[in-house]
Amino acid sequence: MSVRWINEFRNWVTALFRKDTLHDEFHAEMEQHLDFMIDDLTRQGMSREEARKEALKQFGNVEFLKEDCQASWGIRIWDDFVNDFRFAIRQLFKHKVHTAIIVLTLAICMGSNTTAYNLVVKLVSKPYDYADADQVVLVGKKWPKLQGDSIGQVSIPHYAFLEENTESFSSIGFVADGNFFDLDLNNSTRRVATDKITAGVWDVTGVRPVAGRFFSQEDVEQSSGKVAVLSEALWRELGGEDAQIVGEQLRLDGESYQVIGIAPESFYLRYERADVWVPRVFKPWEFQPDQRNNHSFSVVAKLKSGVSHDQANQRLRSLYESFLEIHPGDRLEQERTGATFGSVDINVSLTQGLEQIGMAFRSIQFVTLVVLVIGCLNVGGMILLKGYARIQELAMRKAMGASVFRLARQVYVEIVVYFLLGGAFSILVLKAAFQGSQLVQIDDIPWAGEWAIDANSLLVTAAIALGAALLTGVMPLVSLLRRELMEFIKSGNRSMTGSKSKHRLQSAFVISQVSLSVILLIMAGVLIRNLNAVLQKDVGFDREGRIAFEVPHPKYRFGEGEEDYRAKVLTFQERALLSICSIPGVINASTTNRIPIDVRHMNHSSFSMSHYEYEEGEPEATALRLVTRPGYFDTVGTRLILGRDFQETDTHQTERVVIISQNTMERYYQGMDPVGLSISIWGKDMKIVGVAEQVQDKPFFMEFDQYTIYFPAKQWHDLSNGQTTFVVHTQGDSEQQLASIEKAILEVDPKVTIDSITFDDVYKGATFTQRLPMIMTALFAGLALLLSSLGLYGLISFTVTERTKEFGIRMALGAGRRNILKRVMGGSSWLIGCGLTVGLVVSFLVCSQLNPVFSDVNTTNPVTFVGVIVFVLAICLFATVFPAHRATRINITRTLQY
Amino acid sequence: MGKVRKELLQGTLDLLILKALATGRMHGWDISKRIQVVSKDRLKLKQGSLYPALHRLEGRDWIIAEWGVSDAGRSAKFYSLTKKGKAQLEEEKEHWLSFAEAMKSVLKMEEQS
Repeated sequence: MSVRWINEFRNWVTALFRKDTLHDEFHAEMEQHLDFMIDDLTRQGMSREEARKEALKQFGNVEFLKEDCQASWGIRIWDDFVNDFRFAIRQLFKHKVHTAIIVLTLAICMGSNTTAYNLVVKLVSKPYDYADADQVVLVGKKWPKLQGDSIGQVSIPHYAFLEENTESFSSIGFVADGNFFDLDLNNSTRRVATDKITAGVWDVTGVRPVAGRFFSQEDVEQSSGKVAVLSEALWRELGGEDAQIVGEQLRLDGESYQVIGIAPESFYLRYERADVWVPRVFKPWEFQPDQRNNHSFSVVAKLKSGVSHDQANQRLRSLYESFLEIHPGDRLEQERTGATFGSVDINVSLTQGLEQIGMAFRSIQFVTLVVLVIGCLNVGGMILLKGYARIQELAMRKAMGASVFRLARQVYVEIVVYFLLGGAFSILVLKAAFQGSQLVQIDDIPWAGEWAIDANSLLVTAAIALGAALLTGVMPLVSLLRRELMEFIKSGNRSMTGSKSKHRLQSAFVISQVSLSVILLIMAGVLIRNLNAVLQKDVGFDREGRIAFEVPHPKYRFGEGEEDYRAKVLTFQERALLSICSIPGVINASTTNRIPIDVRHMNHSSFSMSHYEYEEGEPEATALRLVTRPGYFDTVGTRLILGRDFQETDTHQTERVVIISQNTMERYYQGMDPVGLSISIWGKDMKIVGVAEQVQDKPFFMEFDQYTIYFPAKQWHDLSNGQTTFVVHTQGDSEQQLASIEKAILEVDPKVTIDSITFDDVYKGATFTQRLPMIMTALFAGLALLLSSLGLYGLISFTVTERTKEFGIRMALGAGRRNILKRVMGGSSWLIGCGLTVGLVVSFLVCSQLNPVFSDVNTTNPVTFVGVIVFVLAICLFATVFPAHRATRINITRTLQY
Repeated sequence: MGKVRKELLQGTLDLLILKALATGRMHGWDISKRIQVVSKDRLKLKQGSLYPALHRLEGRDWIIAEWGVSDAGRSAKFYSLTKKGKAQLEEEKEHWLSFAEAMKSVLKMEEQS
């Protein structure tokens, strides 16, 4: 049997390519046979003319013979295929509504699923696309008793120790990210984001330069670290290939660096994309033991082949034990926090600890999955109905000798044609999705990177839907095989009542469509309400008219140390504030070291209080450090609950003072007035002069668990993160104000670089984990609804069309329009009712389980449920009324003629 | 019943062709001639109907075709049995003979009773 199949297959293939030769040979062979016959007949005494006539008569019709032979050549199969294809196209045009529903469903399904998949992969599961990314790990210190498994940063002594003991790693690299350099462009200064790294990073990530080369350890030593690699974006900005930048010198923070290579656009190391990579050169003092508490750096490493993550982690744990032997002073910390070395897959590291991001995107995946299921139901249902509508025709053809294979092929060719069309249209959907993603500012997410259609996800979605279609497509044929053909052929009037199995299936389709849409809508409603509840929270500061201007004061111009800070930085701040305040429309201005709710510049310090003793094993409280000038609270619209704001008289010569946050007071000063009490940080005592209203300091997607302490700018020279953030409260057009304030700052110092942003935009960035899933969920829920209403419309209208004859007879026998309408509506409303009930019960069960997860809203709130019921009913009514209406408008005589 | 007869005849024709080719390679005309002569004119087939059968057998690798020159000096397509074809001929022959034997005894019994 199998040999025969192989033969047949070979014949098909040869036939496809040798079609013409086979035809020629056939005719030659027939000619030759006729010649033999003619010879034979002339020998018997006929004239040549007569002999030819007789021969042709005896031989039979050559064309018929050719038909027969073609079957053996394998040509028939191609001709049949072309016929099936033609037939499918004709069917497509004949049932336009049907075709439109299937094609639209497929397009939306494939398009939306691919978009969602891309998004989730890019943002959550695989943000890094290094070569062998699964072997690249982020190495760091972890504090299991405090922060679970999340990997924190390390100090330089830690890194030095790890680098010396790299048994599990084939390469290891050091990253100090989030630095900025001033790039001197002759008549202006551009701020460039800079990662300071060791040469090992290039080996770990396996990235290849676009031009030039990356620096090696020798390069670093020979140039004393004065080499730079530029990003492709900066390279282009500076003129790209034409400007021959590789090999040239650039001035960064006043020092000359030689550009030796260009890194590709897609390359990035941590949260932000850098413009420049320069070597991190270590100074001898940085390896001193007292530096081991400065946990500010990341380490990336590549596992040796054959080493598993678990093995690497085990090795790292024992390494930390060896580290403790050298630094026994850290044992106490280890006992308290469980501190050790650890590593995590680089692709997990970015979202580790950001539970909300993961959950938001999983919910998007869930919603798209439901869209896919509804899509499959649509496609499957429509194909099934169509199959059953043609079952009599199929039965007849089978009775006349058509093989089941042949019939199945025809059905499948039709399905494939639908999928080709759907695939083509899905490209349009994808295009729209891409444009949509720009509207919701996906690009603003630091690690979003570029967009590309993922062919795999497109194919997987198509395969699932195709599976559903093929499965349902074959069902009518299975019925044909199972039962006597005569049964189908005799039941010529089957369209009057519809066969039982078909009816059952159709009901199942309607019920599942309705219940799925109900579940989806309720889930979407709950999710959106939950996300929205977060957005409604009071953040503790005002956004309206507030603009922030981040101005770095790099060492090369502003120096370092206390003297320089007072002479240069504070003077600059005061002059700039004066200049800003003189602009009409500026209500208030002050400075800080970070913008509220922003993701950057989050530095914490632990503190102790004069009145409070930490219990045995209780972790010390840590606070986010904010350095502000007088007037900051008024400028950002935060109230002081107790005490006073900083004053110009709080200087380095007066008593150190701080303002604490509301939650610090609520936690540690219950029923007390903290003002006047002292707290101790870095071993220094400071007096509390005020308590500020609670502010949402960190983005919503980060765990909010820490306190905030405000320090006066004049008393601290080393807490500013190397930059001043001017915050300004303005009136009027913020675009215009922004420009004039920038100008005012530049008038004070023309060489500074300014990064300005409105509080509104900061807020948008900080809430993207709420807004994005909200938009996506709403979008996909909308799509799913569209799909299921399309499906319902298709199913019901198809049934009505099928029953046209029955309605014709009923009307001819005197049934009124109202009666027919009732019949159509009655039948479907029962099914819709069933679907609604199933959907409501399931979603109620799911939602009551979800209550603890979505703590901000009541998930079983009746408002969502009632809203959804009304909505679904409206959709169903819409899907039923049109076909029902059409049913009553039929022309009786014409209907019964056929 | 029409279908059964058709199948029977088809199988028979295949067997006849295989048997004819057992004596050596031949072209289409020779085969038809030979079947006619050997069956003493009792099996007279429509000349053309030979070809679909020949092509089918070729498709199954039972016979193989090649172009050559006939005794009369004409170019013609010659068919000959393959190894598989020979095996098939034996099998079919067995099958046919036992079938004919069975039929014969059944029909004879009918007449007697």
